Amino acid sequence: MTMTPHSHAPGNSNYRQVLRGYLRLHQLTVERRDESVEADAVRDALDLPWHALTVAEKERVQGLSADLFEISEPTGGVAQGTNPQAQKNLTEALEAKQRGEWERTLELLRRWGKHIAPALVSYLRGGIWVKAGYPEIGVVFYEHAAKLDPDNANYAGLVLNALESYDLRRALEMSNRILETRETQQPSLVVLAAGVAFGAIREIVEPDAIVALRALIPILEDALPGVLVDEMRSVYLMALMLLALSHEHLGETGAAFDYYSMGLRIEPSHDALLTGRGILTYGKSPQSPSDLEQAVKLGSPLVWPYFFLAHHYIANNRYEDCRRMCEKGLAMTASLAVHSQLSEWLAIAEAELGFPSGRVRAAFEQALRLDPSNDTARRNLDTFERASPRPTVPKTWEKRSESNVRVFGQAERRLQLAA
Amino acid sequence: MPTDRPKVYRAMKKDADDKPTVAQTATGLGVRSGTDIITDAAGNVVLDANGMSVAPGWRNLELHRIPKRLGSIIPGARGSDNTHCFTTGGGAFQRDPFARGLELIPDAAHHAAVAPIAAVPLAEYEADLAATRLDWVIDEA
Repeated sequence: MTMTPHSHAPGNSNYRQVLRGYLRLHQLTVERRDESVEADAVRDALDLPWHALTVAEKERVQGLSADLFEISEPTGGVAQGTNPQAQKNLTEALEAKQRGEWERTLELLRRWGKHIAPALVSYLRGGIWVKAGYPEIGVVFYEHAAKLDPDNANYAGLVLNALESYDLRRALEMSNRILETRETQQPSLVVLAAGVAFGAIREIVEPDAIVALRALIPILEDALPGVLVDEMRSVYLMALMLLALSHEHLGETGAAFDYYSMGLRIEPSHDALLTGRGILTYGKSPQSPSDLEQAVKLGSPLVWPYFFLAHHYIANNRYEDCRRMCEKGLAMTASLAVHSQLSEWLAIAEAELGFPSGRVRAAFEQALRLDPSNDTARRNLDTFERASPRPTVPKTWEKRSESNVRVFGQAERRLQLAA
Repeated sequence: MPTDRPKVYRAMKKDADDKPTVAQTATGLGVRSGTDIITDAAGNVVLDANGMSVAPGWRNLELHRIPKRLGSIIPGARGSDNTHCFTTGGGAFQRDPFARGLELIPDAAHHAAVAPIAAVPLAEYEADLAATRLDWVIDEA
């Protein structure tokens, strides 16, 4: 049976419910409580959704349940000797994983996994479940890999990443444990833990956030020399990004600029670093628009380069460029305030380009719907309405200054890990 | 064991005599009112083809009902080891009379309900199910 990623995709609530139930039964088994009243209640709750599953879904659940049993046994983390046939099939498993044939990969691992290190088998299984949209299952396998091979910081890092995607509380607990014992931890893991801590600072009020960021900077600076650029480039760049963002938030522009630039010397095509440096120097350096344009060319998934360039273009009367950038930005995830701003600039650009009045008005109205406190949009709509009987008369739009937009953008983006 | 009724399996707890425990649970010889069956205002079982769940073979039971000790045969089995795979009957797994007051109503190839034949009071239905107790034997082969 060859399965594509879609066959594992979440969405079927019965399937998801059954997977979670079996995961819970596994946890109860590990805790030696699988004959408890709670375990019976879990089983009772599984009856109905189980019968709604397809045969293929039942087989997948069975495979998972068997795999979970395997990791609840104390195997000692030792692989059986390999042989050419095992080698061939394990290679096929890795190739199947590359192709996204997760069911096939899991089947091959079930059959031939005993010939490779159990930690590696769990790592592969964890990756499949995470990619399939079930990080809570992936974590269980990653944790097993980390337990069998505690010296491999990559496994612990994967646990942290997966936890962060669905259970921030547990991710923070793990992050705190790592940071508290950082002298004995691998530097790359410390950086990953700092990343989780950085994300959590968003929830902290300002004075405490500053204290937390001040504490994070030396931790990252200490860890940085221990992260080998050649082997862990992404972690190294993440550390630089976190340092840059921390300094930026603290108003230490020079240090932030240096860290962004340090990262860009290693990876000139890092769209998040380009975006970060572009925003930091927006309205201050002629290099800023070129950093942002490069980030856009790289297809940045962040709204910020589109947002700032839209403003740069409107400020320089490049209305067609502004219009394109606004449309791209409006298609991306962003706050209502950011979308409101982009809608307003789109309206101005379309007005200047001679688009029909109805379309221009609709864009202004959209800006006001998205953010009723956008007074600039309200005044620019008035300007537009006053001039509409004489559309050829030049209009004096109220445009925000570069520094004003930079402060607005930084506040919106602040404390969001841009990597 | 009566051979004229459909052959069915159900995972149940057992009593000291190796016969199933009569209980209104998912692992007893009985039904859960409100879950397995519903009753009308008069307290009679509603005839909606629901009833006590059974399967044509123990391997067809829900994975979380097959006792864990059978994991070497059915990998991943997650059922309680306090339960046992009981069987009764010898006939085909099809809609047929099952025992006094009861009939088998399959709703899928591997699942059926032992339901009352008539809209009887819940207590009567439960008594009819309990009356089959001695007909059940453990079969995990």
